Amino acid sequence: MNEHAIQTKGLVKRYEAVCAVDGLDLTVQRGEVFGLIGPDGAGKTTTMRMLAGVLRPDGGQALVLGSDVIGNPEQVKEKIGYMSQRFGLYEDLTVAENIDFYADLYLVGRKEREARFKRLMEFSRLGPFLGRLAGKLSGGMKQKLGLACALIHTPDLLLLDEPTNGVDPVSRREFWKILYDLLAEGVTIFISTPYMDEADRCHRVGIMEKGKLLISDTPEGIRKGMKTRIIEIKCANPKKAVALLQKMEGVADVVFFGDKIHISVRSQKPDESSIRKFLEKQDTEPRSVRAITPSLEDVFFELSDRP
Amino acid sequence: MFERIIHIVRKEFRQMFRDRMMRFLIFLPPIMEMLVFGYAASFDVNSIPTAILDEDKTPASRAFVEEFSSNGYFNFTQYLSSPDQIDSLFDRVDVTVCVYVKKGFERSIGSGTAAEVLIVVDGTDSSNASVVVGYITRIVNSYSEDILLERITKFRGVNPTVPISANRVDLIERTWYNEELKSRNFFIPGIIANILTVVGIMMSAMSIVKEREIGTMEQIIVTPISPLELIIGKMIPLVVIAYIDVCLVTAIGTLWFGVPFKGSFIFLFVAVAFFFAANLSFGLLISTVSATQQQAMMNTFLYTFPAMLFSGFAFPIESMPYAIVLITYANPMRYFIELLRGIFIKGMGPTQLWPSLLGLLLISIIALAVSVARFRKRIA
Repeated sequence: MNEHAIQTKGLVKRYEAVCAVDGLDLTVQRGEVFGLIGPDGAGKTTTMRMLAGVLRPDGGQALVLGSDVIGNPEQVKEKIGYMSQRFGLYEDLTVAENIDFYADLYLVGRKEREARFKRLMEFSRLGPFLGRLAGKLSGGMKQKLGLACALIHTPDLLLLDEPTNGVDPVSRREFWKILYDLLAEGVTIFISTPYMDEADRCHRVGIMEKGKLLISDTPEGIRKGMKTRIIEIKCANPKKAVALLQKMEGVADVVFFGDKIHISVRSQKPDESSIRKFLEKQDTEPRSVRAITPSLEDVFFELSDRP
Repeated sequence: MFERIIHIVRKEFRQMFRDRMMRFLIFLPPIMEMLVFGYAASFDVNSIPTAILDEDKTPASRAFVEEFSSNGYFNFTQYLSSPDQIDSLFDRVDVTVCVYVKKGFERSIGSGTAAEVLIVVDGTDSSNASVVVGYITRIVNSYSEDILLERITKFRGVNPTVPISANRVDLIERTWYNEELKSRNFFIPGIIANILTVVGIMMSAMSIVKEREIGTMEQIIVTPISPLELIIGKMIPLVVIAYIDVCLVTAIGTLWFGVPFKGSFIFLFVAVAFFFAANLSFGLLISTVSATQQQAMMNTFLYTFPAMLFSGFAFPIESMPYAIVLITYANPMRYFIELLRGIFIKGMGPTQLWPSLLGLLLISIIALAVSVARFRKRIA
């Protein structure tokens, strides 16, 4: 009846004096991976918990899979899978017992359970560890077990709160591969992450800060709408160049990127050639000066109006 | 609804028996407490270490001292030769009592004047000392009475085997219910109250707080299970453990320690249900104010100590100040101790004990209402 997986209007959550989520308007389409990115304390977890029906908002509306999670959280529970930031596993139960317990709570029938279990073992590759206590698994494995538990009842929407936080790059890649497999099965995925580089794996991203959604679009769309240009400079005397560039008019930010320098320019004014000339004059021997594609991290800094 | 509860129960038992600490907590405290209160802790006073200083050294003084050794409560450990030794003996806590028979004891008795005996008692432990003084008074009185009777018969020239009725009041002591005044019989039923407090409050609070601490509570909340189903599922295993412990303590208490059980087992089980309901409600309440398992444990102790002191388990409520007596009415343990002693020692049933059941019921209802309201808020 509703093509949106998630739709919120003016969602508000306050913790005493702090407004953790401040009038959030968010739309997530069915069948997409939507990434909610932003720094720690932006309100990502609070948003996620309200959508999962764990936390009661102080104001606004939230429709999840077409039903109102605030008024009637029970109705959607069967259809969503949620993995909290620190997925709680029973470390004193084995891998199989953990999965079984969640299957029990969702009252998954025997036949369906067997089929689902087999499928989950295929992509999580937890099969050989079924008899092992969950507490004895590695970090990446625990993450996969958490995902398996959240998926045992075949949800339509998966809410993942910073699932790759503190997971090594190899496990992180495997984890994303699993998410794409799920996507192919038709599951909508709503994921939050503090890592801007992960946002590029999403269909659409929302950038959040201080409880507000700054922008929500495809990664390319966001980049295109950006006014800031990032210029990469290589030169023989980078230390001196950085000191000089920081004082140059029109330059918003100067950072080292290995042996290169990235500067953000928020207008058209100092272009590549004028920068080159400026640096040549000051004896820093610029070897290359070129505009590069801004990363989402750059976008975040522009939008949040930080230096 | 029923199905999900069973799944929770199964999971709880599985975790419980996998946890060595848990297995330990189920069976060790009842057995430990039984041993402590059955053997060691006791208000009964016997084998009192006693010093004797007999300056008279006559048949009469020896007969007097003999009275002390023959009744079995006093244990002669020291024989002194001079009164100067008494101080150091008490300083070193070598003896509790010193019987000092002064020179001229026999002569005084023979001449019909009062004979003097000094008895020193260590009053550091006041309740112990008052029992000892009681024993001594009885011994001395009966000894004096014997002398008196001897004299009367001598004067009247009556055969001493014929009982004579001197002008006196005869005191016939008869203690009901616990005839031998064994403190074991007083303590052991109370152990059930202690154990059920630990199992009911600490274990229930900790089992809920644990889920919150490790983050599984949040995962459970997003499943379709309701908080009520979750709580019931978590409490059922504790109820089972509670009844196992009750049977364990009752069996050891009656079969091994010979504590009487005069009431009905069925009524005991009913009383346990009432008391345990109150404890589980308190446990639930503690779980809503504790963020970690450690806090839950501390809060449990914070409750348990005063609850035990003001329950009549060891110290009689009748001798407490009125303000404290009022407080005891809010203490579920107070009612349960009454129930336990009534059932075990006096063989009472619901017709006599219903006020205690009612007290427990009221406390349970109030505590449950408060904790459920708080629990809901905490989750939402």
